[in-house]
Amino acid sequence: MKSLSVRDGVSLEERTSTIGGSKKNTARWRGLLLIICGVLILLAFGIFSSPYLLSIGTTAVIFGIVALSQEWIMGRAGIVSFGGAAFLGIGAFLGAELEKLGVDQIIFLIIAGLIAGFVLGCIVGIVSLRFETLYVLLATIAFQFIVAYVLEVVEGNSPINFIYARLATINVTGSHAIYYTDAIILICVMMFLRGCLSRYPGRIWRSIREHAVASSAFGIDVRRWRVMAFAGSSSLATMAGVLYGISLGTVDYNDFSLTTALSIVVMVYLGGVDSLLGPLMGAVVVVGLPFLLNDLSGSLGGPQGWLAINSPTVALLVEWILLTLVFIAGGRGIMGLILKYKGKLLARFGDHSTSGYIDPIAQNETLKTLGK
Amino acid sequence: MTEALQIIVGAIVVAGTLALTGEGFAILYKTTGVLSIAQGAFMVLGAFLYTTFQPRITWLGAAIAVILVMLILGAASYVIVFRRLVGAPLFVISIATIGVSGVIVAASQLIWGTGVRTLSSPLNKRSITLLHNVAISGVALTVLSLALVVGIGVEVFSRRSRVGFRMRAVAEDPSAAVYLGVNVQLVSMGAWAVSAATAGLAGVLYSFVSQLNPSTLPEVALVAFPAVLLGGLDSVGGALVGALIIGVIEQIVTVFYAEQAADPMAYIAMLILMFFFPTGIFGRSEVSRL
Repeated sequence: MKSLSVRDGVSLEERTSTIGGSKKNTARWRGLLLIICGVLILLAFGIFSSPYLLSIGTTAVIFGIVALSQEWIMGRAGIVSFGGAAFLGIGAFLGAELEKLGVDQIIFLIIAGLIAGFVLGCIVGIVSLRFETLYVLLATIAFQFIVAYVLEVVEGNSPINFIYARLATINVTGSHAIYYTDAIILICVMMFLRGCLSRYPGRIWRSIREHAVASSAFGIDVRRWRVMAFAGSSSLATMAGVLYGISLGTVDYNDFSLTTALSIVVMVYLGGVDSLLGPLMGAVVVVGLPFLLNDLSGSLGGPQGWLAINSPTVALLVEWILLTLVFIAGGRGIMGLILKYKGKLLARFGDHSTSGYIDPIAQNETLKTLGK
Repeated sequence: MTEALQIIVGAIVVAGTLALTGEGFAILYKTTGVLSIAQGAFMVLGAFLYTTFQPRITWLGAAIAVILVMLILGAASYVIVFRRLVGAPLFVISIATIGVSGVIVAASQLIWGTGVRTLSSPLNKRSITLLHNVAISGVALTVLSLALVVGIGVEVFSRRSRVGFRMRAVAEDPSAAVYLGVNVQLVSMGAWAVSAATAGLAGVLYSFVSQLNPSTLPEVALVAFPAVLLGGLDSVGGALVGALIIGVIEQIVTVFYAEQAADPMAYIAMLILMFFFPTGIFGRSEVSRL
């Protein structure tokens, strides 16, 4: 390409790079800015919050990773899965069992989680992705029930302890250490997903989500790519499970029930699919809301007040009402609403280049007019 | 022999409730294409409503009142939420049903509390003793016969009546149905109402047979999925046959192994059958594979 030069001395490559490349550069800067902002926010939270807040923050970060992994398959690849909690549970139990055997290096535990999740994700993916959306959903519900039972059997009579993990010689089970470890992993996961989803694989998954048959006609091996997305996301979710096990201290199968699975789906859709910040926001809202309401009830109704007694249920109610409202408002989650109302300023912070979602309101209006 | 009889009787109880719940799923799926996760929540709501009505009126009156209220609430859920989601991808609507389900369960826990209740009805007291002292309770027989009546009724209704014809048209292609003058909104509202009512009734009957636990009842409804899928998602009568098969499997596992393994086993059966008969036993072949 260097040899192709034009009269004013600027090579063709340079020209094209300035035309097409300016966009690329902005995207790169935007990505860098996003990462710096994220690091600063996570760091500030780690420095200024109390151990109580820090434990909530750790849970939010871990569920952020899970929500991101689920967004990968639900938002990008268009596969609906309720298997998030199952993989999370498998990770936590795997970590606890390995720790029992004497493996307490967190790096090894994480790698074990990634590999186990990937292998299992491949198997489940190959079995369940033979079918179309609703059937995949059912297959993953089945997977959730089966895993919950297996974990119950593995656990036996009492929850399994998962008390110690270290990085080289540093103990990472303290509230600050585990928070920073999880935060670093979250940033790595975000960078990986951003890199992966904004390039060729991301476009392939998007095309499959938009029209599987058309993609297959263009020579894309739809099933292989879907299984890859499923296995990748399972791998991340299982790794998050290892981290969750460490932060919990004791691993109990009740923490990985269908309710958790549904909460993860809620995080993804509450925050907004087709964006990396959306699921994170969803995770923060879903994890933080019960605690927020609990604290609010303390200041409003006193410790004996109605809200104090019922705060977990009220939190659930608010969460579900929010989700329902988000769907009524267009189904793009909090991120979608922000983008809709704040316009271009905030559009910089989201990756929303295309959306496969048909605006239900617009569709509904058409049907309504037709109905008349 | 006694064990076999026990299994059959147990299976009938399980199958009856599963079939009633499953028929609710199938009615909705057949008409709107939506796979509703909210059926379990409607079960909880129905059972709680029964506990409110029952001390004031007779049990039969209370059951009828539950059906009427559930019809209204089902229609309301369509009008408030799902009407706005017409045209969205079906799995998005299915996820929206999780939201509605959560709202209903959380709200009813706030109103009626989270405690486990036992519901009593005159049906519990009567039972027929079969051979070898194995008794089948009146409520089990009622559940099964109701499931039969609803199943056959809906099947005949959707095949023979004009409204049933319209329901199928809406499921096939909502836009085309609109062009042909079918009132899609009314038909969908009807389907939501009927499926909520069957779920409510199933909730009451399930609480008769077992107990009313607002935290586990929504999961009970999900076990109806294997039953519906076995029969074929769009076949209301198939749900009944599927429920019987699942009922027998669950009872065999309960009697010979452990009760906790029953539900996972139902799902394993579902996965295996999905692998070989993706459309269920009575369903139409419409699953597209790649």
